[in-house]
Amino acid sequence: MRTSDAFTAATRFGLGARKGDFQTIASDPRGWLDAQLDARYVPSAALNKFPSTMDSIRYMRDEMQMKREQKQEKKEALAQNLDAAAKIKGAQQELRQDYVTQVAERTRGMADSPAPFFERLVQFWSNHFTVSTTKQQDLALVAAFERDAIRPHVLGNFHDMLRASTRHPAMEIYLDNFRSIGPDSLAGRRRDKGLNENLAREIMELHTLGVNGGYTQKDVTEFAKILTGWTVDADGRGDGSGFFFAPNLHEPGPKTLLGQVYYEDGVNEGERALSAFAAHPSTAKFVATKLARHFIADDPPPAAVDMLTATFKRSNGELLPMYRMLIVMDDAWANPLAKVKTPNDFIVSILRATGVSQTTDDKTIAGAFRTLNQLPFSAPSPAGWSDKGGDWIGAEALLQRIDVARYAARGIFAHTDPGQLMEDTIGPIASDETKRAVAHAGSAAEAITLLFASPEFQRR
Amino acid sequence: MKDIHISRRRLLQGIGCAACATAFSGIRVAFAAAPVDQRFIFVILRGAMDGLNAIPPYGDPNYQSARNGIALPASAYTPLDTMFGAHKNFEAFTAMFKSGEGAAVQAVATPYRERSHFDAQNVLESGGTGPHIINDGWLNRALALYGPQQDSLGLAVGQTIPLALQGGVPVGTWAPSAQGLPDETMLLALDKLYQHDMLFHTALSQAVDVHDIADPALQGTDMKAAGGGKNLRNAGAMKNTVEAVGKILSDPKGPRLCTIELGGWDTHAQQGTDKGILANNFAALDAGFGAMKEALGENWNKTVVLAATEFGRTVAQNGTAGTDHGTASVAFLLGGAINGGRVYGQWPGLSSSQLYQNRDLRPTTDLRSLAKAVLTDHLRLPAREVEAKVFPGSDTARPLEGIIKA
Repeated sequence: MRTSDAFTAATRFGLGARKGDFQTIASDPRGWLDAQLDARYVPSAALNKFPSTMDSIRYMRDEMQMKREQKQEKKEALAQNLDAAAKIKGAQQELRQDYVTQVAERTRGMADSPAPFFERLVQFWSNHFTVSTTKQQDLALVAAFERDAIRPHVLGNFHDMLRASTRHPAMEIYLDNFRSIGPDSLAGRRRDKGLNENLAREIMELHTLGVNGGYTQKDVTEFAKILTGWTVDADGRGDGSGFFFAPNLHEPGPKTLLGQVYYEDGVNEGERALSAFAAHPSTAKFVATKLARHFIADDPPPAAVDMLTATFKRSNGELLPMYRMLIVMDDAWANPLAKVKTPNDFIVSILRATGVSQTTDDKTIAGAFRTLNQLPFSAPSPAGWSDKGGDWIGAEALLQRIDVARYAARGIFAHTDPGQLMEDTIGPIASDETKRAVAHAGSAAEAITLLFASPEFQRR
Repeated sequence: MKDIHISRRRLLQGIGCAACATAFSGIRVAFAAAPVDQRFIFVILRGAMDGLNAIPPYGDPNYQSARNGIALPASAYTPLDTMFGAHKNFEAFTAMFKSGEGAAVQAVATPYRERSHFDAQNVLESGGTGPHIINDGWLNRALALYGPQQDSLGLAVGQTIPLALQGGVPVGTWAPSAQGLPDETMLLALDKLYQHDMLFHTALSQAVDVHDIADPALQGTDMKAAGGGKNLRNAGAMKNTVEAVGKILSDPKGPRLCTIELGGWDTHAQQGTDKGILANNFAALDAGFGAMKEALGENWNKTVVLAATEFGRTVAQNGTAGTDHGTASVAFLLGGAINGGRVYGQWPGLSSSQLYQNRDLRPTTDLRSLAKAVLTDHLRLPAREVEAKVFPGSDTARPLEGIIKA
């Protein structure tokens, strides 16, 4: 066993080391990780205070309703219009405020979690199935999406997570499927409306098969037809999950997807297609590559990807065997600094190291993410956040990180021993340069800034 | 704002180790003899811009019917010639078109013919014949052609470097921010801290290099209005950010090649016509265009701006009053160094038999033909090198003649 293994377990697999972690982990780093893959793990209680998916839909619907009313009133009276505008602004601010609180609570839950490996996996999958507030209507739904569609399946089967993600209103809205209408469906014929192929394409390209996974434009269009009718339960007609299948939007007739004919079967066509994608060899390879990139290196060794691919296939998409394979793979432990922390990792690991997450207010936490361009649930595209170091470290990005480091140091230096903090966070792998920098800094605040800015703290 | 030149000088005096001296002083040499005086700004429009409503082919008899529901009404565009118009939110562009400093190229595409944003952007930025064939960016390879003095000629606007500028030649990044560089004690300590980590050390050196130029150039400029440069889709933030960039590019010792990224073009739903999300994005882009000319001042005559997107969108609207992923789109060319006032490119037509795969605008101009013309005719890079090193495998894409002033 290497002396760096405790660091790797805490930082690469976990979310950064806390005081005493290395001592706890050192005797059995792999066992420490394995123990976190436990279905009995209870995440932060704050998550349960977030509104339910159904309530979130209601909030969004009410706001959109208000907007429509405002349009109507605009025609009627200017004075009324001003009132309505103020009302909407208030409602929007409230939703935004809730979102900031949810981001902060999620972060605290991760920073203080006794199962940081589990929480990292939540982030990984949440990013794999990206939903984003860049679609404004998703503002109230993104946190519920992670809690309700991702978390329950992190230790389960890939197919179940794919299904939960696709059915969740946050995804249906983010990738426009909720209003995709079969041109020959009842609604399509009446309203001269039609398909939107956004979700169909991204499920194949980004969630399952991968871009070279063996599908064509024709498959995208056919899958889009299959998915028509998969929409948001805006009126509470469904099973309470937020999903609703609307037969009047569904394109009738047979469809051909990846060479298979799907005879008309309503919602079951989409269910069948998702099962087929989950079981497809391209999906195994795609998911394995992403996991290897996250836990081994930006360009993971092909042999490691092959082993993970085989594991996915053998276990029919069960995810636990994948994680257990990663834990025992030498490649995952060989170079403890191979990966660069994303801004999210960087901020969470500072909060873990300093233990101040409960006393740092919501705005400060969200502000740090905003400064470093990675506000949770706001990825710029459905591909999610990049998992490659070069995409996160540019000149200006580094200055911003140093600034966040300085800000964090200012808050704790008065009662922190920088040398001890270094031992607690990067001790097993601290370089001579970093030790010297921390020892010779002009002040405790400067020493802590340099510690957080050091390559060992910024990598994982 | 503090004078970085002074702190830099002190920094250099204070440096003991040879490695640090090289890192921080190398740039000085480069500035003494910048190998090129021309400026080039590459605007990357991420998300697939709908070129058919940016520069609408209103003279095409099929425009209204093919785009039923999303075609621009006559009140929403300004005619540029008898065939093409510009969306009315392209005010600055239209003015430049009329004064010969703006042009568009219709039916442009990279060699990529599938419909993944991410692969298409990879091709747009890597300059390869397909996705993931080349690992660095075509602009970085162009910089490399300037030889050993090419340091700090490249600048990415934003916190990080887009693929188009990534590669062996170090380039800077700049975003509007209030704090600037850490103080020199901290800088020296960081320099030592990073001496064995290339990624971090390069980023730090570049930060010093860029701020050395940017901070004096922006002295007295209020950067608050630029909003950190994070939401360029806001026309005001775009204007303020680009004005600052223009000042940096105007510095005689400043960078020459620059990238700006603007997202938000993936208009799958409710894209609108005269108003709406697409029209708002046009306004933001146009605010950037206007600010570039303004801020570059007399250097505008030495400037070419190329704005391009990864692919176009379907000709017909989809079921949700938007458009899905397509193929050809439009590219913009601006600057005092171009032959403007024209819509270049061969118009492929919009009747169903003329479309690509019965749904998209058919590409007739390879985007590399534009880029190659800029590199050879404007930046004066040797054609043979451009062919071999910047755009390998692009022999079918001949440089577009006549777009750069002789």
